[in-house]
Parts: sequence; structure tokens; C-alpha cells
Amino acid sequence: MVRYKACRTCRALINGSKCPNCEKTDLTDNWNGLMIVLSPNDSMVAKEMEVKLPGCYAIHLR
Amino acid sequence: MVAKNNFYLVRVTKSQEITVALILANKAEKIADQVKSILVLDEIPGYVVVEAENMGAIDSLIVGTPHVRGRVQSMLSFEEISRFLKRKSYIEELNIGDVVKLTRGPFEGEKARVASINKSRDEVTVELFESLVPVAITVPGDSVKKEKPKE
Repeated sequence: MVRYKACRTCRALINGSKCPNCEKTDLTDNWNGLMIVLSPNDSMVAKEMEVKLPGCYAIHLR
Repeated sequence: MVAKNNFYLVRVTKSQEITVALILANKAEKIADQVKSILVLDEIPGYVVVEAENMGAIDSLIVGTPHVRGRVQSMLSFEEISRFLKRKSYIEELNIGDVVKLTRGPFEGEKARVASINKSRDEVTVELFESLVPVAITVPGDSVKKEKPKE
């Protein structure tokens, strides 16, 4: 999981050079905490973190 | 409208939290809509937090999963979880010369004086009080808390 980078805009964890969610290239490998959202419409965590799509996200970015 | 879910702690082998979370997420996709999210929090090492409607979903999820050592009987409320999700950075309230207390990292609990503030990088450089030689260390903005002046 360490090789994954987090998008600075939407916090999605990705294994490439471009975020598939927001299509930005501003990525960081300095992140911690993992959040896997399975059901964004029913999840209280997803609502709090303003996540709209299922997937893996970082909780904190540096 | 989001229904009220509960947060369950699954005890796992230390340093395997992310591996377990990914395995559980993979298994949870087969249990339609019962598990809402899975969290790995640095503040709670050795545990994975699962957001679900009921306990039954967790039990069927963790059975036979490698590195899982059991489930904690009690559950957490959303308020307890949400304070780990949004860390408050005190950097906006700080000025150079302020006395702060370090709240994270190897110098946790130590008092220090703010030497410089880098707001764009959310970093603070502080000088520790306790050290014999003045040592400046740079820490993230959410690792310090301003000490109230004594009256």
C-alpha cells in the first residue's frame, strides 16, 4: 500500500500518475490513515469526509 | 438520509491493518450493502474499524480472514470515530514566541517555544524547553497545541 499515492484534491489512493476521479495530477505519497468506502450513500464516514464514490481514500494528507 | 450505523473494532495482527482492511473490503462486496466502510486509523494500532448496520455482518466477514484475532464486543459511536477523521490544526492561532505543547511524535508532552511558522506547508519549527542545547525541530501543524498563559 506504501507505493500508492493520494490525490491532494479528493484524497483517492491511486497507483498511477493521474487521479481517475478528478483527473488531476497533484499527488502525494505522504499520507496516513486508510478509508475504504463501500457504500458512499449510506456511510456516515463518507458523508463526514465528503466522499461521493466508492474506493480507497487516505484520511490525512501532509 | 444516512441511516445510523455502528462502528465495530476488529482486532488484527499489528502492522497488518491495511492488509486485513483490503481483504475485508473484498469480502464485504459479496455481502450486499451491509458493510458501509472500513477504516485503518493510525491512532488505533492493531485494530480495523468497520462501519456496519449490525454485528452479524461483522461476524460473517471476519470468519476465516487471515491476521484477524477477534472482534471487540462493544462498539464505538460516530462521535468517537469522527474526532480521528478531522484533526484540528492550531497553526492559525499561533504566533512566533508562543509556548506550545507537542501532542504527537517522539517529543509528545514536551513544551516548546515557536521559532517559525510555515502556513503553506502546515509546519511549525519549535525549540524545546527541556533540552540543554537549544534544538529546533520542525513538526506538522496538527502536532502542537497552544499552551494557555498561566495567570
